[in-house]
Amino acid sequence: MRNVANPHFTSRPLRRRRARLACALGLALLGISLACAAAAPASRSTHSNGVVPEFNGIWIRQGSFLFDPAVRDPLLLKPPYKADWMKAFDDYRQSVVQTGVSKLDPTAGCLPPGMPRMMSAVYPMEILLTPGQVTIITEWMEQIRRVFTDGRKHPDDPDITYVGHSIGHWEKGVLVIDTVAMNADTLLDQSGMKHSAAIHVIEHMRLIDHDTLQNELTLEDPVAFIHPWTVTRTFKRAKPGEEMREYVCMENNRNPIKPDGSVGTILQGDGAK
Amino acid sequence: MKHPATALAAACALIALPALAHHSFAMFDMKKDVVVTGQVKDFQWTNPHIWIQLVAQGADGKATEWSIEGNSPSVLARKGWTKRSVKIGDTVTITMHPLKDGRMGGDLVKAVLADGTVVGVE
Repeated sequence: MRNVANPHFTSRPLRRRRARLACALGLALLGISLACAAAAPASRSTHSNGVVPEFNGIWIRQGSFLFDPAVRDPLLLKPPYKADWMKAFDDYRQSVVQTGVSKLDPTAGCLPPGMPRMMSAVYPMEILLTPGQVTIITEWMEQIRRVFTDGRKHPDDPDITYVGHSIGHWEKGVLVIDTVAMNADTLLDQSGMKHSAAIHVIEHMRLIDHDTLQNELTLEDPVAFIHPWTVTRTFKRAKPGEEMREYVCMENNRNPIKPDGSVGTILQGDGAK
Repeated sequence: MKHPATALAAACALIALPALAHHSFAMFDMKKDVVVTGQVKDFQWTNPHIWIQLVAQGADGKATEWSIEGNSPSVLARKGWTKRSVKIGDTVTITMHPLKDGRMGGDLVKAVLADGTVVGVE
């Protein structure tokens, strides 16, 4: 029902006309509206009223590709970890600085980043709005998220996947996305921050202006965190004509993960000896 | 005049992540630049990273092959690189952050063609 005749999805002149109409018809219209709304529960799809925010397009990340876009140095990240999780993360990030050896990161071996890391959009991401679904495609690792906006619920016992199961709805021009059932083997970003299988992601995506998209991500992880962690990420619309590129990670990955978990570097020619 | 904040910023920059995505670049010494001029043996315009195989004369006069890892085509194309930016046989001067383990590899910082053209734009 949220999207039925939502004023944020209608143009201003239309809104004014509606206002006049509403005055003229008074309670009669209210009655009809309520009846229509009650009779059309399935009209929650993104295009039900023809006008939704222009999310369609290619978007370029602003800020760092760490989970907190305001932070560029992994040592300055402040996840709200419980004490034992914080110690493990601190030990790991210090060891990377001291030894120069980065371990843990499954993406080095070409496994996908999954949710929520994919929304850091290391490379551009594309958003497609279709009736009942918002599709988010990231160039990095070519991950695809399908956010169902047709009113369905999460499955009772969803399979665990890299992108999780996402349902969304519109609230006054803001796309609210709820994601569950994410693979616990993924990291939050390259710094090595882990999360548990209990992770639950809530996003609020909105247009600040035609060329600026904002995504407020809140991570709830009662196993790892003492309180939810919210960051706000901003994207700029790609220049006209810019295209998403192919990204096949296994095409020529010369940085495989070694048996000890560290990232290797394969040299070629006689310099490799 | 040196301001403490400037020194702090510089210190932070040293340990900050490079703008590379697929994997951590902790294996490269980001504080060190090595400049090598040589002939391009191969240019791999591929994901997840591009590679330039460069044959250069070492201090002992012997030719050795360097493996130089760059960003992804995604990033480099948006900085003006193309699959034809560097050609096999070209003489190129490359600045790289060398591998910490001392092997003949590095992280591409800058490539300058024989005519002085800098490939791509930052």
